[in-house]
Amino acid sequence: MKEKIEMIFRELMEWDTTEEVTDDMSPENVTDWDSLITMSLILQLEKEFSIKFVYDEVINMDTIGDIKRIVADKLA
Amino acid sequence: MRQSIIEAIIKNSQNHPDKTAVVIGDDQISYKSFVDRIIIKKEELEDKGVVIGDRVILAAVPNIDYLAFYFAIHLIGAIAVPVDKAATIQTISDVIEDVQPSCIMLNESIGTSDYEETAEHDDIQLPESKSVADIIYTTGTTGQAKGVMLTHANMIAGAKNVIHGGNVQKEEVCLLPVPLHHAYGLTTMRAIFYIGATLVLQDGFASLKKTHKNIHQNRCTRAYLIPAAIPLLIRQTADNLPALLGILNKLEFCTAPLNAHYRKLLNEILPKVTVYNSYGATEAARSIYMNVSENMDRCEAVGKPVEGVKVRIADPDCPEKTLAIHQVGRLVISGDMVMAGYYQRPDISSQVIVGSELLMGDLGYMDEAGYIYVLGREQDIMNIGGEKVSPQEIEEVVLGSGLVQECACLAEKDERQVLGDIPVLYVVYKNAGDNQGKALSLFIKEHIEKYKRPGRIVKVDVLPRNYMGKLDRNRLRECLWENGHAGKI
Repeated sequence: MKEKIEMIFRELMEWDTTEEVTDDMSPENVTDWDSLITMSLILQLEKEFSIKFVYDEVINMDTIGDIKRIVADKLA
Repeated sequence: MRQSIIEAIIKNSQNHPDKTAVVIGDDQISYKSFVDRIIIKKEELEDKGVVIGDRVILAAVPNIDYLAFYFAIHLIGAIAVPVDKAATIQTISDVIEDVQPSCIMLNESIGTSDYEETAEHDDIQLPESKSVADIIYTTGTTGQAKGVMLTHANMIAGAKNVIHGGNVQKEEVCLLPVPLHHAYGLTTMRAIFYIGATLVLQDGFASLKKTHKNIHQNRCTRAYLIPAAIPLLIRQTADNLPALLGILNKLEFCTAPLNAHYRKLLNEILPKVTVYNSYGATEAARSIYMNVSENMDRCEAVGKPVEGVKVRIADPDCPEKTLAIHQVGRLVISGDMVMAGYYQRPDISSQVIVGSELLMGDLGYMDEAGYIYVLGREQDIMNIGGEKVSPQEIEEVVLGSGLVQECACLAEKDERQVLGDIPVLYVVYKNAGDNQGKALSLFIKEHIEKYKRPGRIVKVDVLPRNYMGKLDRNRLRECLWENGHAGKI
């Protein structure tokens, strides 16, 4: 699941597969991570894992680590 | 009567020294400390040799020091030239060549200061109201890059328009998540400081956590947004936009007209929020305002001129001739906020400023009650069999179908040379599925007159937008040209 999230993020950022995605990455420290990326990421994750986020989850998604944790909790 | 925004800030610091002027993330500063910081930055710039009349290029880094440097430049009587913090070397080189600055402050020179701030306030010399304060680079009205010169007097008039048009009160806490090198962000920021309200600055909407924290922790009452943010925020908040906004009860939209679809949507999901739409240009600040919530029967209008602003609709071929109501022509605006001209370009300045009037690049019309309707940029208007049709008009209807996430309409020449232009619609569908195209065609057939119907509908992955989230029609045209009108844009 974690690798899948990293792959989706990498594709949205148009990075190649050698680019490392780390848990501390956030819109604050990643250039070009804009609101369109955030929205596309939410949509892709919902589609990929057949889940639907609620407001309290979305407002706590700041870093890649947060996103992995929230998705893992939903799938548990 | 204050002659400059910096004078207003100093007056506010004397009247309400402890009031918070700016909040950016975990940093905040009172009006008193803000003025101290401006004076310290003024001395720093003077040590670098900046004197009255000099141009200073300043990267718009969203922090308190950027704001302090910006007003320090004004206090010296020099001219601020704000540029995008992510501007390419080529863009900055072009601006350097144009303005010949005495000082360049890029990202690394504008950190966040960490020191005790006290400064001598005696003998502060304020700038002349008629002197140039900013040169803002834009491609707007004429389509080519040039520097818009704004005087301190222009800025005062622009700030008043924003305050009166949007009914801004000094007790307000205003969230501004747009860049500060662009007219929308700059004019809003100046208006907030002019009236003495509190500015909460945010670097875009990528982090909803940050937006939520900013609004709730600072008890924001108003936010300045762009229409493109609406679907993003609705989707990002899992359809719970009211939860994000908290006590915030006023929203203003600018940079593109808020279309009828979004007006109805906001009215429905945010019944307690007053929504404003404003229209303007770098050359003339924001001059036309609409309280959308009180005018749901005029969903296509951009608003009425604010006090002190005059707008008329002129014959595009003969600008001195004013057209009658409902006749489509070129928007002509006059008022104290109209720019001094384009920097070192008297040739193009004289094309758009005639007497005290600014000839806009937009076409539109006025109704019997004085409301202005903007159809779009003159070069975007389609000529279909002799009828002038705005691409926005078609896009609005299509958005109302609920089938598409976003769309853009461009003119294509009719190869048969019968109709002149043929509208071609580029759409990003909300849902995947083979029947989406058929459903949209059916909707269009029922809702758009035959001659205006798109000749083709092209499915695309995404539409190009500029850094303000505004649809970039020129880039769309280029992409289509490169990709043969298909595939990923």
